[in-house]
Amino acid sequence: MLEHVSRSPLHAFGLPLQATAINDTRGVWANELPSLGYVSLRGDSKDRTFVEKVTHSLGVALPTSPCTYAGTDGAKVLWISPDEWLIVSQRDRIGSLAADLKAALQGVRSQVADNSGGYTQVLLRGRNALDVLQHTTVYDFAALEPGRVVGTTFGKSSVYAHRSGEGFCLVMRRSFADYIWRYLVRAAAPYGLGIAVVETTGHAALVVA
Amino acid sequence: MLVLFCPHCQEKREEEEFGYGGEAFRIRPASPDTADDDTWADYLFMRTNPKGWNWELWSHATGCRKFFVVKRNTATNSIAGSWTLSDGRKVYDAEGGSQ
Amino acid sequence: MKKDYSIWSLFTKGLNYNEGWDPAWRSAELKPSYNVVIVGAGGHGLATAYYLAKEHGVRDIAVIEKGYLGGGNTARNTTIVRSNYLWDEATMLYEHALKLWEHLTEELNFNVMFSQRGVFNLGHTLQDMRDIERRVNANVLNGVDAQVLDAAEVKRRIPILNTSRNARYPVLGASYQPRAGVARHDAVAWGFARAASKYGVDIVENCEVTGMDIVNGRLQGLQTSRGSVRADRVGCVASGHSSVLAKMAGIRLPIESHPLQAFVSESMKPVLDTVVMSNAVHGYASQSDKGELVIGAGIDHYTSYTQRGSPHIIEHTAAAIIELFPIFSRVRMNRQWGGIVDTTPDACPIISKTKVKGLYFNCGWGTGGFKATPGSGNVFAHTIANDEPHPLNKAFSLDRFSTGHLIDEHGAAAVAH
Repeated sequence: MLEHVSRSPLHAFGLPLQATAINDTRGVWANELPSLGYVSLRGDSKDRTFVEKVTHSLGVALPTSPCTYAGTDGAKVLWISPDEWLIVSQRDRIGSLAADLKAALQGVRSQVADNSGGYTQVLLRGRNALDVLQHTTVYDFAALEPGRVVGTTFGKSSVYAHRSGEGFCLVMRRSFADYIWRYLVRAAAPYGLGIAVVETTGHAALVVA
Repeated sequence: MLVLFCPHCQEKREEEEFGYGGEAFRIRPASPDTADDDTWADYLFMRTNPKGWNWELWSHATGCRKFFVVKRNTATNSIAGSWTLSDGRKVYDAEGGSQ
Repeated sequence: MKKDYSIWSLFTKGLNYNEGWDPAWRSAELKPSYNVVIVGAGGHGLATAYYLAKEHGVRDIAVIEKGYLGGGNTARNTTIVRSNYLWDEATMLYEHALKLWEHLTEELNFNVMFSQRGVFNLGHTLQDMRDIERRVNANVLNGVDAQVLDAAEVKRRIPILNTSRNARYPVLGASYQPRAGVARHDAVAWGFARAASKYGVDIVENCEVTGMDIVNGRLQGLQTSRGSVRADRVGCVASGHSSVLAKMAGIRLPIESHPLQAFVSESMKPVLDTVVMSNAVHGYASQSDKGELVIGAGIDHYTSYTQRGSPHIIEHTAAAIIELFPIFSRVRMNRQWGGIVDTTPDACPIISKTKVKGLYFNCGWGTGGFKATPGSGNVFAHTIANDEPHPLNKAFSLDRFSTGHLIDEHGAAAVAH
């Protein structure tokens, strides 16, 4: 019998094998935060019942201000649009998180969909991380405040991006991950690109800066 | 380069994040089955294409992915404002709708 | 006629340091009334006036222009001429134009510098190649010269093209029309202006139409910035401003006016002796006789009458050209500009009578009007003179949008739409 293997969207680049501890020799440090879980949540942010039930189920207030996100120790909730959120958590927790949400939202006009296969994210750090974003996107990331998340154009594709510690988290669709990674590698080349060790499996992604 | 305010994201963003959706508030014939060909063609193909103020749809394609309306002057590219569809409709109607 | 250009006149005027040339056309004052008034002194409008005078014996004609002669899209296009369209109706119309192009310099006694250097439409995917074969077959059946070339042959003819199999969109082949090419855009306007002027056509610049006098569904005349003028018939050939004119007559057109940008590089030694277009990579380029690369791509997505577009379109165009021709990556661009193109839902023009008697429209050429200039003027003149369309533009009537007989040329309209 074949064993089911889950491969991250950037698996083919062999990033884990290249990873080293961050040091001063490179201007940009990046790596994929592989195998996280993603749930798309749809609902009406003006519906108080919906907001209360989601908040209660997740244990964190559902962010209803545009372009903000909220986090708990185990999950991050990104505002995508007035009726859409993306919840990021550990892959092994996402099933129960989605099930709990669905159960809590029984009878409330809403949608919970496990999209874990559809997204991945890249953590971009280093002294030139901002320069790389300025080469690749049209958003002024220098002005992006902690706690805010923006969807913007990246090359011919798009990302949802927010600050994470000293760096930036870029959430991208699986189908464009290859393109975006290559684009990042090329844009970072003048500054030197290092592949950073990911502290624990995807944990850095969940640190709310 | 246009800079548009997205009423959903509540931020000004660059044009590259948006998709153009054409003239806003075009009215679909109530019963397409009984509309005559000219009525249907007028809805489907004909455009006001004004030189001057234009109410138009934009979608925040790589942001919140919502449609909204913009009042923009096609002769100067100056922008009077952005609204959600429902808010924009009220302003549009208050101005007397399409001229 | 003493004003004809000839070797002898060039020689003698040359001996006099080219002093003493007569103006090529007569700048006229607007008279109170005309038989026919053409609105728009671009290539198409001037060609219409010329053929009205020459082929239909109409002598009492004015061409009025809100700006200056040939200052709109005639001055702003990338000068490509070809006729390899898909559908019979479009192919016949553009082929009619191409046949007129082939003798236009002699016809007008004005060198329009028509250069039949061929046009390549590159295919980058299997579907591209299927579409190319289908269109080439359709062209051949319609008597239009067209060929399918494989990648090796394309490389042989255009050595600087990136045909590497490792390219992001490798070139699999191309359609090729040998008789296609480029012409000198300004010369076309000047040549038609001069030829029309000789027939007594009044060319009135800085004369903007501000209103139309319509009584009982019949056009009586026009209000202009230079006063009112009575006219039995009025032909509007105003490209991007067609909707503005139509509104004066209470007509709605299926047209959106978009900016279309183009740019030229610094002059270089000859490196590209043909025209290369790619729908998939989305750009096209040729090299002018001055050595400049002439480059274009798609329209800006929003409507605008501003004759300028957004910088990211330029960036996208440059990226596409470098994808096709890595050798151009260090070439500097000299000038960039925008025109206002009148796009239709089926990427085909409207050459039509209207519900207003005596009012005719020739518009909707979108991004591809230059190539049709003489043919467009020729059939539009016929339409105005006879109050009936020429067989070649019967299918391009305004009512096709009601009857559903659209002619979808988005594939053959190539890059820009």
